[in-house]
Amino acid sequence: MTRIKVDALRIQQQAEQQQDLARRINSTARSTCPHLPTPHRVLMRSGSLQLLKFEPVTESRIKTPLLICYALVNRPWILDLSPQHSMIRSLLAEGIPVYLIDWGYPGRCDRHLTLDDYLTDLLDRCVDKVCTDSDSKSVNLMGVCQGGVFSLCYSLLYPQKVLNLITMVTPVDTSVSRFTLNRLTREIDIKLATQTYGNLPGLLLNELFTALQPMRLGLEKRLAASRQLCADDATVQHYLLMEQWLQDCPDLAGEALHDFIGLFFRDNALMSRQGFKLAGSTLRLKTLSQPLLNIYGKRDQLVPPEASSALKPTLKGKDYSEIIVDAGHIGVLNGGRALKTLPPQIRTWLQEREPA
Amino acid sequence: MSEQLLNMMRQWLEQLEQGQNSPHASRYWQELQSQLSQNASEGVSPLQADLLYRITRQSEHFRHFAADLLKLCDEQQSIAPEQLIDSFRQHLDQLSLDWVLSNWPLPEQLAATLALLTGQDSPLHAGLKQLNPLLQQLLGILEPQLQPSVLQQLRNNLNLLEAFERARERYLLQLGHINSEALVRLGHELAGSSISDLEQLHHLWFRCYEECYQQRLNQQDYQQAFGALCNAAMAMRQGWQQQLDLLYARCGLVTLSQYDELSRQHHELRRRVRMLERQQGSAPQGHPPHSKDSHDAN
Repeated sequence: MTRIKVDALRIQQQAEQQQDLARRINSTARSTCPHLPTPHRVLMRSGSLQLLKFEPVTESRIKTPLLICYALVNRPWILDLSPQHSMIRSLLAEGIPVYLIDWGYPGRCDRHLTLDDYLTDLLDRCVDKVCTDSDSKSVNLMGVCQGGVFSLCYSLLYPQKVLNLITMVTPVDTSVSRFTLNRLTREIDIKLATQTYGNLPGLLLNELFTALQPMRLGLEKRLAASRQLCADDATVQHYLLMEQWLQDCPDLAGEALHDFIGLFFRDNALMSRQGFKLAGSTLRLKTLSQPLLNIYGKRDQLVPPEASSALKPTLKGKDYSEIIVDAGHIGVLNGGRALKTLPPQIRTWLQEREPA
Repeated sequence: MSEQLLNMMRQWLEQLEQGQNSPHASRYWQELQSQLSQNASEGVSPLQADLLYRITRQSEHFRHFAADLLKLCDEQQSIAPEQLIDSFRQHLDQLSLDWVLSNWPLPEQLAATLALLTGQDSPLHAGLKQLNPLLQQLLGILEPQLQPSVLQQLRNNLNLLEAFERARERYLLQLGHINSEALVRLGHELAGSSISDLEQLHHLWFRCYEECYQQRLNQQDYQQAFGALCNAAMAMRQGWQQQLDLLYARCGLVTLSQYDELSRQHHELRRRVRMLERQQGSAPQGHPPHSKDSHDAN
């Protein structure tokens, strides 16, 4: 076989650069990087849950409040990472009144919280509270990722309380071939997991996500890290905030996780024509009555586009719209392109469906 | 595991075997404690400590790989493809080993012991391999003093540790297959080209690897090996927790399973209260709510 030419001098330089970077980041990585949230107040608390109301920054252009239902996985502050990277701030700037459910960090005593509890108790109380606070009969519900699944189920359970529904990067059809998370977890004994841990540790979940693309999310990211940590202050701050957010992964309440995996991963319940049992009702996605705006990322590796776009044929003939962002999973929530284009599109879509 | 630490543990165990009253046993134990505490972290936040650790370790791997590559270069500054692939394989094996063990949290006590025993220069899997015989030896020494039920539980736990080790090796085999397939692909990509940038080489590798990984991930044997590793780690952890529950119960303390049961009952009551509140809210004023809750039958 032909020998491969090697630029020895360049390689030597690169090895030295790597060492130098590793030395330099020692001081950078030790610097603190505080999270500066958009001004808000806590409207309601229940256990570790907090319902947040954000201060308006401009005159309201939409009357019906927008309630964001984030996933139980990771923390919602990716939507408000910094003043320069904040979906919430951008929505407020469009004149949309924004509320957010922060599920918090479930403790050991929450291991018996079920999916029913999350939907018919916690989420329902948040919706009621937002309606009371805003003097509105219903909310515009925006579900993010797993929160999107919650929002779909909630809208089916309580159609009168949801005026419009927005799903972001939401897994609907989990049987699609590129939905790697489902394949990777197929042989994991979820019952054993809940018996062992009570709540599934966030740390373990994080590692599971890394296992979806181990080289890209592991080694490649770390190779780039040393360079980013030696860049300008803004890059370092953004990098460290993203890292903090990625590591800030709450544990998942055991019973609710068991219910969720069983229904939506193993049984692919949302795609079931016969429907599925939840909270004492039989739910069928095709009976969804609210207008739906479905937003997903063209390059999403965690929830592939086809897992989200499965809503379209299911809701054929209904008020269904979709926005496909040229971004990955996190990019849809926090990327520059999404932050610029999505908020005005969401405002327009909501305005068109606002009651006279 | 550092040789010094390993020797200290062996010496301590030998003294224990000679009897608890051995004059040297407590001295060895103190030295061992002192050695272990020297490895404690410096008070950096866990996130930053982890980041620093991972990047430092990766930087070391990177430097070693670069040095190996330079050694393999001939006077014309070229390298045989087989040698390059072989060197890269060794480099990747190290990364895989680090990755697998860091992925699956062991019971805290075991993980802490492993973290302390494993030095920067010693691969993590060596620590795990050495730990099991040490624990077997310790169990042998303690056997006469232990009650049969405790002994049985400890034996079960060591069996679970062995099962975890087998599952880990089975999974490592899968990773080995992926590495081999990806290396073949990398070899094809590199044919006739030159290496002037190590980062580009890594990026090419990431692409080759992810393609092979995604293919393998769709296969049932990979999913089974991955699931078996997760399940073995969890079973081991559950076994250790049951052991702790047994010890807590003997001391008259509330066990985790008792606490869980109380939490379950609390949630049942909370649901009932919520239902009654709803019924009360929807009932016409002046009429008591009609409850359909199954508890009413009691």
